[in-house]
Amino acid sequence: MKKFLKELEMELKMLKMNNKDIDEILEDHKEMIDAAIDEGLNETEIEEKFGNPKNVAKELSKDTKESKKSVVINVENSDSCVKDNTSKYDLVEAFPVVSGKITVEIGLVSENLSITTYEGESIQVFQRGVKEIKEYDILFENNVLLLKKKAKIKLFNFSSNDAKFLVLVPSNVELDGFNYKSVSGDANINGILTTKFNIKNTSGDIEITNIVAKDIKVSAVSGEIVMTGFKGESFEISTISGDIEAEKGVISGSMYFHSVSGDIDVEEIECEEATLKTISGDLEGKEFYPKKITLKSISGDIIIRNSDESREIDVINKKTVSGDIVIS
Amino acid sequence: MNAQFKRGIVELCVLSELILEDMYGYKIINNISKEIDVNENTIYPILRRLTKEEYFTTYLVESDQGAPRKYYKVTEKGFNYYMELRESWDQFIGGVYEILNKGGKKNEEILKRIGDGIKNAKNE
Repeated sequence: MKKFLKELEMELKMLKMNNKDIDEILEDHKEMIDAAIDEGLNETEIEEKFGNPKNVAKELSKDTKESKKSVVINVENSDSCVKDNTSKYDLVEAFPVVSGKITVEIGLVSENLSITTYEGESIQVFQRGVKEIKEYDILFENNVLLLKKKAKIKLFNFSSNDAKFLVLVPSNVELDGFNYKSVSGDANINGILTTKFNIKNTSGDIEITNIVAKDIKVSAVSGEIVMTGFKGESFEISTISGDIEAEKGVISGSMYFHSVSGDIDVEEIECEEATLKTISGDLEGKEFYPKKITLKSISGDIIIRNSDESREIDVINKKTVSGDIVIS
Repeated sequence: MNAQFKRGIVELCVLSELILEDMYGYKIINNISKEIDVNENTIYPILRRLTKEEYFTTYLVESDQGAPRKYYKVTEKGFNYYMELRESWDQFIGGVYEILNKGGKKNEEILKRIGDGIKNAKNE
């Protein structure tokens, strides 16, 4: 089992864990393996029990990473997934970007969308499974990119469910506004740098990663929203019954959360001021550090757990009818 | 199984084992892996994380065979956390049973109905 320990050591070093942690982890493993040997397990049994050192290292580094309070804005890695993906799509339009800030306007119904920045020169719009491309406006005029389903002409408009658009925006282009509206389509939005960022969605699920925007506004009715990695000055998010997850964010101004019955999960977030309102949805905060906070709940529970006790949260107002409010 | 979900369940199992008695790492792994399909890769990181979060403390005990062993002990904070997890787990699993068993109907009856449903579908 020396091999296991050697491999584990290498894996941990590759993950750039500090030496003290590495020593401790190796020590623990040596002891556990010795204990297994003492109990008469043979080599294969031990291998089965201890599995692959790679996996332990991965799990362990996840935990140490989670405890770091940094926002990782990682746009580069979208490039490789772009290459994987575009082959599955057909190119609809490519627009060269000349100069200045641009605005992105997207209005869809049930189509899924993936939009990401990439290392390229032009805005590219791809599609997959779209039956009638004529039903959409796809234009780039006056620095506005428009991708929109035209008003319905037919009485019963059954659009196919697996229609999907992929939009690539050059990463060096700055956006003035990003507006996304959809009814039931899912969306994946990554790496957008913009002044205004607006999302309006009814029932589709939305995943938003690596966003830098001055004003962030997201609203959903029943769709689920997951936001990871964002930076900005103001942030507003509201939901009726969909759940919201917001993770790894820094907002220099105020954050506003509003939920009727959807649950809100907040993790590793810093901001100046936060307002949370919920009717029956629960709110759970972990490593959530607003300097000031206002909390209102009817029957939903609000629980905030932070490990850094030196950072105090000033509770301006706290109201609940039957929910619990706990900050620890 | 969904990794996040599995981790949560194993976390509860680890706490549950240690609530009863203090144990050393390998014993915890052994006890849990006897019952469910997990190995050291999942359990050790949980032990370490919960120790860091002060749900466990550790102490060394000399063993008959060779090197001393690190024993894990649940703290008060850990105990409260266990109660919390346990409650949500009981509620969750209670709900799942309720759904699966449709409020008390016997499993055989449900399976029979599903079987009939499949037969009917085939005949149509």
